[in-house]
Amino acid sequence: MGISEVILKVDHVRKFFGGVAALNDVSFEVNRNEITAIIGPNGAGKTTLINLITGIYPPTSGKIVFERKTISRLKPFHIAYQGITRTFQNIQVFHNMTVLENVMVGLHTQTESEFLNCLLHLPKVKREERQVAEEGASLLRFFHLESKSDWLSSSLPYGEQKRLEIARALAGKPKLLLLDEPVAGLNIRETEEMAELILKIKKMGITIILVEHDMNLVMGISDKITVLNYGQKISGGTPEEVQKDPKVIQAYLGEE
Amino acid sequence: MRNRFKFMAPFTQKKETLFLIIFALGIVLIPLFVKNKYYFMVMNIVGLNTIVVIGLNLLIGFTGQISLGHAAFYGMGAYLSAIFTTTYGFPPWPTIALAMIITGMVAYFVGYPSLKLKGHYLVMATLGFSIIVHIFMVELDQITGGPSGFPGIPHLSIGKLVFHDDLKNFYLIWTFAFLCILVSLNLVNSRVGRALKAIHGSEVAANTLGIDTDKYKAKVFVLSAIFASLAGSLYAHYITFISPRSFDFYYSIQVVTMVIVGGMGSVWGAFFGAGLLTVLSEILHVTEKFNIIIYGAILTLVLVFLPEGMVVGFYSFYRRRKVKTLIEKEGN
Repeated sequence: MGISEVILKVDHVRKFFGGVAALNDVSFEVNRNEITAIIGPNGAGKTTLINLITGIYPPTSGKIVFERKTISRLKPFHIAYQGITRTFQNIQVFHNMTVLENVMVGLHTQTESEFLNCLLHLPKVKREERQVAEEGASLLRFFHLESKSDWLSSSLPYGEQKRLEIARALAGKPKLLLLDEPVAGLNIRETEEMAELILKIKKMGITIILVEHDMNLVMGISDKITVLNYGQKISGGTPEEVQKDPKVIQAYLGEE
Repeated sequence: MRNRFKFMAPFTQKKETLFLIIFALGIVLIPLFVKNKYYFMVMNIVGLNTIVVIGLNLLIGFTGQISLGHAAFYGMGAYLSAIFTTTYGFPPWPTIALAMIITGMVAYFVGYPSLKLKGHYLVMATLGFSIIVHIFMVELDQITGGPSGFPGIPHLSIGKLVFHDDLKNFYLIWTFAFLCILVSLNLVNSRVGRALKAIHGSEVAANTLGIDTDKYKAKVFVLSAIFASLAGSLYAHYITFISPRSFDFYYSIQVVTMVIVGGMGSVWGAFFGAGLLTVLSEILHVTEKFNIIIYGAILTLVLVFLPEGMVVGFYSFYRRRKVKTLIEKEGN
């Protein structure tokens, strides 16, 4: 591997909710085609950081640059079009839709039929529909969900809903995928499968930001780790470097 | 285990084509068997309500946004058609289109700001808007005829064919209802329809997948207002007399009830809800004072026992039964 290229740069970002600083002057970089983990105790600001990157709310100050473009003032749907998609800590699959339809929604950015075309069901829409259904089906095969494509997504077991959410995020052909606690609530076997899956996604050339509490997973698959505590970055580097950092140990275990 | 019984989406596309054909056949064949004028009048009102309810269902059932102001859009269609054709002598057909455009634009200005806010602001905005429109209908008596109504609206015609009786209007109204069902089915089984359902499912998630949720909500609101406007215009030209009473708050409640009873998120459910409750309110004419209580009771019962509405509710009940018997057979 040559010199790695920075795909995302978080630059002196602050986020205040009222008077509370959820994130205070956080800066870090994410290299292309690496897995960067964000870890930290509960309430450290990890999910806030993901919400800022995906535009759920804007930062109070500082900026976020993705592929040399400042995205910190863009709306979430604009950011999706830039090539960033995500999953959620509390699963947000569309319960009112089938498994296949969920993935087809994920293909929204890859298609363009608007109201009038869809109302009249023009030939272009038909073509797009066929293409979307095929791509959706092949994604479901990749995630071993094809046998349940007609199920309502709410009737899937928890682990499969997590997989479905990732499938849906991947459907948008992101360059950067943000996973918010992908193995929370999964058993050991499912966690191992998820680790393999994440590595497979990395092999597809997709950069991944991973927020996770499971340290075995984080240390096992991450290339870089950023550690947050009370809204501040306290450490960063490779898994080995972070594990040895006394500040990290202190944050997790407390002072003697 | 229970999950296994509810795995299917309500209808497949093949079935929908079949329903459309049956529906079209119904429109053609019903006049061969029904001769009573009164029945035609009721069916025509069902048709008009169906058009309104289908549009409203796209908003409520599919997108999860509630409007309590569709009586206003229905009324705008009716009054714009009446005023432009009767007072100013505009040709009726282009006026219907013009009314749809004006209503759509008004809906955009009412809907867009309130849809940008989180929470049920659309309910408030539409409620207030419908009251304002109603006041205009009553108070601008120079233009609208005021509380005593607006008489002498011309019937629609195509060439020499004048839609002057209940039977001809039956064909006219139900042709439009059919077209509305057709385009709505097209919409819901498409990229836009999925986006709308996604907004209903999780607005945040929809947004992070590239869906401009504010824009889609505003657009579907405008579309539902345009449907209501079309129905209003057809109503005005059919009855040839309109008065503010037909477009009061009670009508808004009625159409919302039809959406919920028939089935949220099912185009056929909208048709069913419109049919059931229109006929019911005809039967209940004897108890006019208690109408609203009976409506309330139906709404409550449906929400408690069939929260997905009657069509989807009964259908999934039927499916569950079928799967259950299949599994029992396997067990033996």
